[in-house]
Amino acid sequence: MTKRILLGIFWISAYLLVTLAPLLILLIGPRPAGREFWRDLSVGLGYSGFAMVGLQFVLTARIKAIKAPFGSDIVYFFHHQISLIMFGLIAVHPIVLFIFQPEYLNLLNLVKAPWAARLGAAAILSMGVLIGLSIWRKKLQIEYDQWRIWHGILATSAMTLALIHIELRAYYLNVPWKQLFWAAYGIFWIGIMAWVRVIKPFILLRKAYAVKRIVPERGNAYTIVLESKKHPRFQFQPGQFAWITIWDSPFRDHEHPFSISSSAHQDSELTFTIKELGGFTSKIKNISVGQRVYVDGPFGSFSIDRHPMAKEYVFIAGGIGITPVMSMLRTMSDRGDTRPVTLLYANKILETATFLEEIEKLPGKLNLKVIHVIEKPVEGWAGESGFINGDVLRRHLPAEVKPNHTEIFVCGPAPMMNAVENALIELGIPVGDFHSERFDLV
Amino acid sequence: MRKRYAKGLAFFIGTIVAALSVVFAIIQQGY
Repeated sequence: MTKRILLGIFWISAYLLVTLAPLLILLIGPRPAGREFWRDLSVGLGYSGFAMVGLQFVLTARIKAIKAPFGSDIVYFFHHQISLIMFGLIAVHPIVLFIFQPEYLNLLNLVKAPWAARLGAAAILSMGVLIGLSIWRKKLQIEYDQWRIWHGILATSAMTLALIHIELRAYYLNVPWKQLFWAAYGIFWIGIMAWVRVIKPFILLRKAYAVKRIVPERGNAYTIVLESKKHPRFQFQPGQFAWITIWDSPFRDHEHPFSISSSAHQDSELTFTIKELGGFTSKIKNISVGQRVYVDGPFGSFSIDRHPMAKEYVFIAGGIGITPVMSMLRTMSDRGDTRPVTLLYANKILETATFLEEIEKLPGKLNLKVIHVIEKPVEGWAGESGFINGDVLRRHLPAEVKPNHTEIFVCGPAPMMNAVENALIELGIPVGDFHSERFDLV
Repeated sequence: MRKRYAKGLAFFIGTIVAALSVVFAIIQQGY
């Protein structure tokens, strides 16, 4: 735990250092005379805002070391939240000039304005459109794949336009070594983009998997079983997820994140269980045996292996949120792990509970108690009904949830997760003792 | 919960960056 906190602090400090590096460099050594306060403030906001744009690429470059202490979902949520703040800083950067030095308002006349101003405005516009499309993607009914393509194009455009804007406005880059630093800084960001767009896809291309079989599951879900005869399967911790690309080249950026549902203890196969929810997921049932699949993973900190010292586990799953839980249960079964496990599994009706038969057989192999919570039960259903709430949790959670003793894992649709997390807090469960995995990343 | 954590972290970093941009402008004024 302490190591994770230290690593987290290290990466947050590194983020701040890279963001503020341009300002530090501008202040070191000989520098040109200061100009008006508001103009210098505008410059400061612009330089640090630019660095934050570059860091957005790092946050989504799926660098495992960065994601390890936080978990992938937090890194993505941070990517969303910081984009709003970054856009705010960048938008304020010309606005302070317009307010406090109105003579700069003529830069808004883009027909007569110098190229630096035109490119700066185009960079801000690209960023604004990019953020708008991300926030309102579902409302605008934009397919995820289309959105991914436009996200990449707009992000790269914004970065390039901003870089040229700064080069044209290089008042503070007055000595050769500062110009060199800025060139190296630009190359660093281009290197990150090359890693994401070229090098990593090339590695994935060389380590492709093939579909061995496809298994229809309850709840309109399908399990695809992958194998590779040319290279060993990557090692993962049960509960982790990966980005998969099917029917496309890894260079095309058409990946989708899915939890691994197979046991981490088996060396050969790798399975994903995917519910049909429209778009890409509706095509899974038509996949053919032998189809090439590119798998980038594993990612995520939602795993029992991150808490090996726990004496007891509780899994709370809703619908297809059972997939990472199934990976953990299967792994525990294969390992002969006899620690007590409670599974609360919520579904609309029992018949749509994915893996129902296998889960019912697991108590014979594991020290497992299964509680189905059915939203619309049939008449005569004697089990829990409705949603997983504080009352249900109170009835079924271990009598005492002690820190570092009982670890709770929650995975399911966002409304269920919000309700369960709030209920756990109301029950006095320490935040550090429950872990959640969210996939509503966009 | 995790969204709130990410939001808090982003707000914290944004505040530091904005504050240090102000410091940069002040230093540039010769203070």
